[in-house]
Amino acid sequence: MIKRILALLLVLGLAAGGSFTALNYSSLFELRVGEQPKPIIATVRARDLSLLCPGGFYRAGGASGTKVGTFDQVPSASLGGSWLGPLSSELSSTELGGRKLKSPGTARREALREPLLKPLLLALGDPTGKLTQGSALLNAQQLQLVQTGRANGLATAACQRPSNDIWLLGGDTSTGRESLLILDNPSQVDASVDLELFSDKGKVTGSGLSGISVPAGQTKVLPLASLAPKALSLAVHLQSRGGSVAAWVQQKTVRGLKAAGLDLVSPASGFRQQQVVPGLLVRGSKLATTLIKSSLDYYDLKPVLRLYAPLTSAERNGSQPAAVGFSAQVIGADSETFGTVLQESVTAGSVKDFALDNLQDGDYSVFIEANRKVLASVRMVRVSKGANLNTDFAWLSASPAFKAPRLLTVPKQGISKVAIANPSDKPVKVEITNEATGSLSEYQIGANGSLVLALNPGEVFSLAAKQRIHAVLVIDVSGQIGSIDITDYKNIGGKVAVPPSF
Amino acid sequence: MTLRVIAVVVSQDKPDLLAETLRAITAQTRQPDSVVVVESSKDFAPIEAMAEVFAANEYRLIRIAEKTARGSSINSALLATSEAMFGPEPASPADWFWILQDDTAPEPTALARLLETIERSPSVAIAAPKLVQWQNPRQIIQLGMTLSPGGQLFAIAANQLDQSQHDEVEDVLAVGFSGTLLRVSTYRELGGFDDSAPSLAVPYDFSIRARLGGHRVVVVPTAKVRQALQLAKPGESATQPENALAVRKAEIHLRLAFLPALLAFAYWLVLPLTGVAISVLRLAQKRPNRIGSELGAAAWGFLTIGRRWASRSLLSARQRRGFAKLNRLRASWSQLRAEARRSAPPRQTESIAAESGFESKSFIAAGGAWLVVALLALSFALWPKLPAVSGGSLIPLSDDWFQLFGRAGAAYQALGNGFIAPSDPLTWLLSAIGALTFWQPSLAIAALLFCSKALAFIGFWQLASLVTHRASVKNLTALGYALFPLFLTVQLQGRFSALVLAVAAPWLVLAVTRLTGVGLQTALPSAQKSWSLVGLAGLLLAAVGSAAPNTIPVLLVFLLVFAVTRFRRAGYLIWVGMPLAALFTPLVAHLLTRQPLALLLDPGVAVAQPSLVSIFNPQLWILAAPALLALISLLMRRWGFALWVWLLVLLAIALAWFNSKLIFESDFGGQGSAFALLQLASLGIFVLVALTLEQWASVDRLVWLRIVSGLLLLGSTAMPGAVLAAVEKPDLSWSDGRVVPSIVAAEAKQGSQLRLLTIRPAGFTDSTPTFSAKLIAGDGLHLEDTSVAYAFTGSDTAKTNLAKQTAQLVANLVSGNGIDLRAALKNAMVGYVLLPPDTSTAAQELSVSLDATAELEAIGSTDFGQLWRVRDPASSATVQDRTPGISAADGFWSITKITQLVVLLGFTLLALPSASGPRRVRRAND
Repeated sequence: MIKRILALLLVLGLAAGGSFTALNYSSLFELRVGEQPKPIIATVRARDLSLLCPGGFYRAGGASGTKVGTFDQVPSASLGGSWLGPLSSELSSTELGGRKLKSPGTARREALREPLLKPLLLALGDPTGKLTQGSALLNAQQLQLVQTGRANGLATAACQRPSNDIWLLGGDTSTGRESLLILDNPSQVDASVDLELFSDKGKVTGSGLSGISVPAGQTKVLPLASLAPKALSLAVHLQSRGGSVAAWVQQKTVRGLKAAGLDLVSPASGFRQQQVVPGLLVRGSKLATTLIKSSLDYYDLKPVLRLYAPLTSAERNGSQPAAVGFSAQVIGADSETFGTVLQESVTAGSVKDFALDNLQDGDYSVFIEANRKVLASVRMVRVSKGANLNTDFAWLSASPAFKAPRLLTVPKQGISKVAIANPSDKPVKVEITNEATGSLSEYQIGANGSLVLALNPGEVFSLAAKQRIHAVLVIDVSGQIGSIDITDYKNIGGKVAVPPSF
Repeated sequence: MTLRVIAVVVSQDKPDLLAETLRAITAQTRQPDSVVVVESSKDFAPIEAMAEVFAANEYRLIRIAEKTARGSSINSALLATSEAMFGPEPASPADWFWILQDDTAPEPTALARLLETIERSPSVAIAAPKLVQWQNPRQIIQLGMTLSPGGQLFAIAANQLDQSQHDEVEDVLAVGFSGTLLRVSTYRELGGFDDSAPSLAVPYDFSIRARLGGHRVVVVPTAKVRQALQLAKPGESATQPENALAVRKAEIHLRLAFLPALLAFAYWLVLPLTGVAISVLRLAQKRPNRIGSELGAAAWGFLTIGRRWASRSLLSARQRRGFAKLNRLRASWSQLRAEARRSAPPRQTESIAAESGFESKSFIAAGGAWLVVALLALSFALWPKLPAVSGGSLIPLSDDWFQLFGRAGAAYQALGNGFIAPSDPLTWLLSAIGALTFWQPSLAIAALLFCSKALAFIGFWQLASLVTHRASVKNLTALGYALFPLFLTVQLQGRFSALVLAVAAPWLVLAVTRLTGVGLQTALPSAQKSWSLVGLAGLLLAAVGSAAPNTIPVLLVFLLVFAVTRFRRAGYLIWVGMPLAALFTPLVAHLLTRQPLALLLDPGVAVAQPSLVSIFNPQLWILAAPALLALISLLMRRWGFALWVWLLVLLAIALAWFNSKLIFESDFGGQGSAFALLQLASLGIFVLVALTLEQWASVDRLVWLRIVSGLLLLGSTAMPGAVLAAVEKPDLSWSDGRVVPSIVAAEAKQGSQLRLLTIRPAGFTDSTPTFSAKLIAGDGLHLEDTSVAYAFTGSDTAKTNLAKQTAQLVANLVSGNGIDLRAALKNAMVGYVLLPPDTSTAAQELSVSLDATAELEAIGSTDFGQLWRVRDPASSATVQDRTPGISAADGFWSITKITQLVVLLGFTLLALPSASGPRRVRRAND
């Protein structure tokens, strides 16, 4: 028996000793086998930076409005922006359809000012291959105040870099609302575009969604109502093969016979679990509330948060789509502006609008936290009673985070304000530099706070911060509103690392 | 005519036995007319001491030179006697030699009985007695000899109890020379014995020549002669290799001497191949110890053809034609079968169980089949909805079995820009598993995953017979093993290494313990059964080792323990490691001077490895009951066995911890895996649990304890495991087995050697955007294409120009800057570019860049991502120019592969049950 007990004690002793060593000294012992191969660094010249501006507002039905399938552009949008200048780079401006614009000037930083009708491709060449791409190299946007009998509002958009996978979160095809999908193909190759449309009922099925041909150098305009009729909430996903395209949704509202606002919806910046939408500048909220109560046709005069949750691969293969929960905090820019909080869910594979009720006039930013990567945008509305009752709206896309300097060119028309949001739990210092004068202004934004600043029209500013911030430019021209994303496009160039494990 | 008998006593170094022989001659009822002692001893002194006896009996003594071969010494003795007795004069037909040796003692009536037969039948030239054992005259040594229909030597009635069952035998094909009467004139007429024949062939040769010369050769069963020397038993499998060699030589000589010339020549030509073929047969018969004698005899026959052919001159062609007429004297197939049955060892399992008095239930009778069905039902989530399973360490296999087999033992890895290194031993295991569903090899893996619980249950159930006969204990512990949450994790996460171990390890342990006689089956298996177990254990060890190399140290220690404690069986155990050594030697040789610890990496696709603590933590409460029961086994009667098992369990856990601390800086990356070793440890734990329950069950007053602990085990391990198995979803997916887009696979099947370049964003390295790229040949990267050796070559690969060119090509594609990439794409033999699914911004930008590349044509979205085709890829001519060196290395066969295949096939033949298996022992009450 003694031997058996000794055997038991031996085993227990070994087990205990081993466990003690493993738990207490485990971190001291780590053996690396092999060495992580260093990636091979290759140097490449970046592709020329190209931005496409959509050009004039599209009018369905031609001048008379009765020609079915005809879309012509209303003159003229104003091109704004800046580029680094001919001392370092070369800029070519070509309308789709082939017309080249006048040659650039000779300044160190050249401003872009052109009236636009047709879509315009700005391509900035870098003969040395050494320039760092981004908004400092080239930034461009357009602005158009449309005031025709059939459309009234401010259409603004940042010129975008063509892509082959674009999400657009905006649009409405219900009665009195028109949404046109604008596809511009600036490449030398025909593009074949496949669409996915999502509404509040889920994915829209039907014919005509795939294989949409957009010939090289041409534009295709598709009325979304023909693909997703009477859809209050829409998300558009397009993928192109062949050439890359630029895309916008042009949305217009008509109440009765009165044109009641329009907007150009720019591409979403990407799926994230945390989304930030700065720039919700609420004005005329009381009037809007009165109008909403007076008629159902004014239902879209309240700001809404639009959310789209994508399907997982399992859900695409037949599993029941989950309810994606989220919380949205609408936070005022100052202590006197009280926002609201939403705790809701959206079914995966569908789009849903959540009204942001009871927001008084003020400046807000919306901070969203979801349990799955989502897309988010906010419809901002403006009601003004001047000589006539005037309504307009603008879709604010969720802004990507950045801290490195981004350049923005303020439009010459109207009042432009930059809205900056800080989603972190620490204050952040923001630096705004006037590129022309070189003057630097610093601002502090509190944790989960935002800042709205008016900027001088026509000037170029650089925006940077020590921590990540989100920002958008909001423009008001005579009570018509629009927003311009502060983008920083750059193509891959310079050093690229490739691990050697082929 | 009065017969004259000259007794020729051939003596060589056995004076004591010689005296006995002479006494037996003196006691004959019919005395020989002369006795001649032909002495060839080295030491003549004892013979000189018998001179008085010789003189008193008028024995004549002739001394001749010492001969090593018995046949030669008898022949020399007869020649000397013939010379001495007859000189040059012809012998009378009435003169007979009675050949005796110094270890033979004829019964008193032996000579009389022999002479009666001769007198009755004057055509008889050779008459042999019934040879019986010296100590036990009831045991027959020989009663004539013959050949089987296939030409094997066959001794009639050898080793049988003499019950006069063969006393009617008279004419035979051949007889030995012990106690045989041989007509002198016939001896002289035939020219004596053939000295060039092997010793075992001499009596056959002489007897057949006598027969072909018109003489009869008979046995006289009533004449008995005792013999002390145990002859090799011609016609029966010899237990000693040297006897087997002698038998084979004799058979080969007889064929070469007596077949028609053309046939004999053809037989000689294919003799080496025949030796190899019969060696393979010996493997299948579980007689690998005979391989040496088969090959040796074949070589001897081939190289000494001159002397074999010279033997043919002793017969004319006309006489040789009469050989066919002797077929009636050959042994029949039924005789051979009867002899084989009689000499097979008894099957031991039932006999042991019968002796122990415990009726062990079979698997079916114990309800095992129902439990298997239940386990399969619990694995419903793993039902192969489609043929190929992916996830964890699993990706599909090639859908062409020959392509899969081509990777086994390959010396060239078609990875990246090509790499010369041994392939993983895992490829052999995959080839074997894939062969089960050769039309779609991946299906076998999917089926294995689905059936693994059931297979593990069956394996452990059989293994539990090591420690218990009780069906209830076997069922309970096997269920515990199969439903253990660790095993469930292994299944649901597709951890192939641990899965194979869980299924195969119980059988491996069972084979080794049966081989060494450990456990309740205490009797050692027969030689045949032992070799069969060696084959099985060798293959299983190779399978487990190739799937989970980090368990090899524990398994080798396990074998070493058995080799030391069961030293008599060490000779068998050494062979168990042979397949493993054959499979691993090339890889070990390659990695030993580079990254020896890389051998501990689980082969296959890398899978995230949790730390040991995070594996154990959720399962601690489940471990408690089995661990406690296993510890209790140390306090019970078989504590010594339990202690050994515990030490192996602790060693496995320690190595699991060690492995979990290894960080492999390779293409696979990540930590070492502990799962296989933990699975091995769980096997040991449950064996100990079975031991504890069995020992409680054998004590009546502890039955209640057994019931309580059984319920505890059921409640804490099996039932939670069953619930988890039913509820948890596998982290796996099933597909049709494609790993590349269909268009790429289709082109590869048509023989295209263009490669698929996959590029994906990989974050940043020191703020530099990073893109990983893979060059995939053929129809994609399958499980058999993964290579441990290649995984650790990144640093070396980076230095090559080819790698730098490839990196530059990738960078240019990523930037889409419009430079001419035609030459670079052709040089890299890229036919397609793939961007795997990725929703990141970097992936979108990469997609735009590829769209902007003029050399690429967008095909669109596929199941594997976005695909582009190179517009002007390398042509077949360019491809052939580029690949001659590579093609030379990328052959289907190599010396390594052939060697490994031969070893594996040999062990498979050993392991397969043979027809001549053990005979069933009839029980007393049958």
